[in-house]
Amino acid sequence: MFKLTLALTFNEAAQTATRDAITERLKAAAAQPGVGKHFISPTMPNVFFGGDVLAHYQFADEAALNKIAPQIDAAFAAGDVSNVDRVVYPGKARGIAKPDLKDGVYRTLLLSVDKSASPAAVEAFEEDLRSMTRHVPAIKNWQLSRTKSGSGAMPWTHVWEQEYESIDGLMGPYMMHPCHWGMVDRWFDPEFPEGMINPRICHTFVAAPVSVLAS
Amino acid sequence: MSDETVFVVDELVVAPGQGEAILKEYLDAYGPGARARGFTLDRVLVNPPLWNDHAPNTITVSWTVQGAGPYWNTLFQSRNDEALAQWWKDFSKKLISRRRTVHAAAEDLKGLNNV
Repeated sequence: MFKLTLALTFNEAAQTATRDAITERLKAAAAQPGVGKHFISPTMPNVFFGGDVLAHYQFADEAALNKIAPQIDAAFAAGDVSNVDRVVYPGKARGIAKPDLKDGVYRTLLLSVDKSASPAAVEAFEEDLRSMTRHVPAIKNWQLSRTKSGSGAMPWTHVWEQEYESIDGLMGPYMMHPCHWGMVDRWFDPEFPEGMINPRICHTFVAAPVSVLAS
Repeated sequence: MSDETVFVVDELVVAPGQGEAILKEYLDAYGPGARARGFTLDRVLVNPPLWNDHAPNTITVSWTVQGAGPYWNTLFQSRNDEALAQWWKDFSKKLISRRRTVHAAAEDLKGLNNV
């Protein structure tokens, strides 16, 4: 499976009609043959550099993605958006505890690991992230991926997706559990010798009527 | 929200003969900003318990913050502080090695994990 996610930030000057037209074109691309699960949704309040609209598409393979990607990328003109964070990544969810999730929250974190990081450090960081799913039961479904390509505000290297039953799971247990601030966060913090992830992240989330991660 | 004490501990391994000066630099240059972000100096420990001219000293500096939320607040302040990041890079070059670790009292773990 291959996935494409876009976090679009509209130019402040972009009119509502322009924003709506872009959103409709992103939705039209999702209606093309070869597109699997998808959503085009406004981001929820309190995202951090998370954009105004999050668009997510799933494909059976990279060839299918490459066939549709030009139409998706053509949905917006450069002048109408101030930033587009774009990631392509392979794989499918590693953890599905609640495949029938309804009216939940989908969250994705795009992050950029410094090129100088050692492979061992990157693997240790990834294992720390995965371990959060054992400590935080509020994470119902999840996937951690290395990107095949990542662009926008940063050269995104990783995508960390989770689904929750409500926003409270993300803002409460996920953020406040000591496995987050006392263990995982060292990789994000330049005050720690382990710090290797650029502070400019894309932390974004949307309402998820159904699970996006469950196949 | 829990307000259990969070301990942030810096362990600095310093070359022989440099311990006292390095500690002074750390406390003078790093300390005020750390306090302004919400850290409280808990204690400074030195191993071995003398300024050693013939072997490295390990200086352990413990800071405290009351609660996970306030600790996040300190992180949000420091995270995008490029001058602070550069200070750590420069300061680290003067050390043999360093570690930063985060701790809590054993009796507080249940409360901290109940989120």
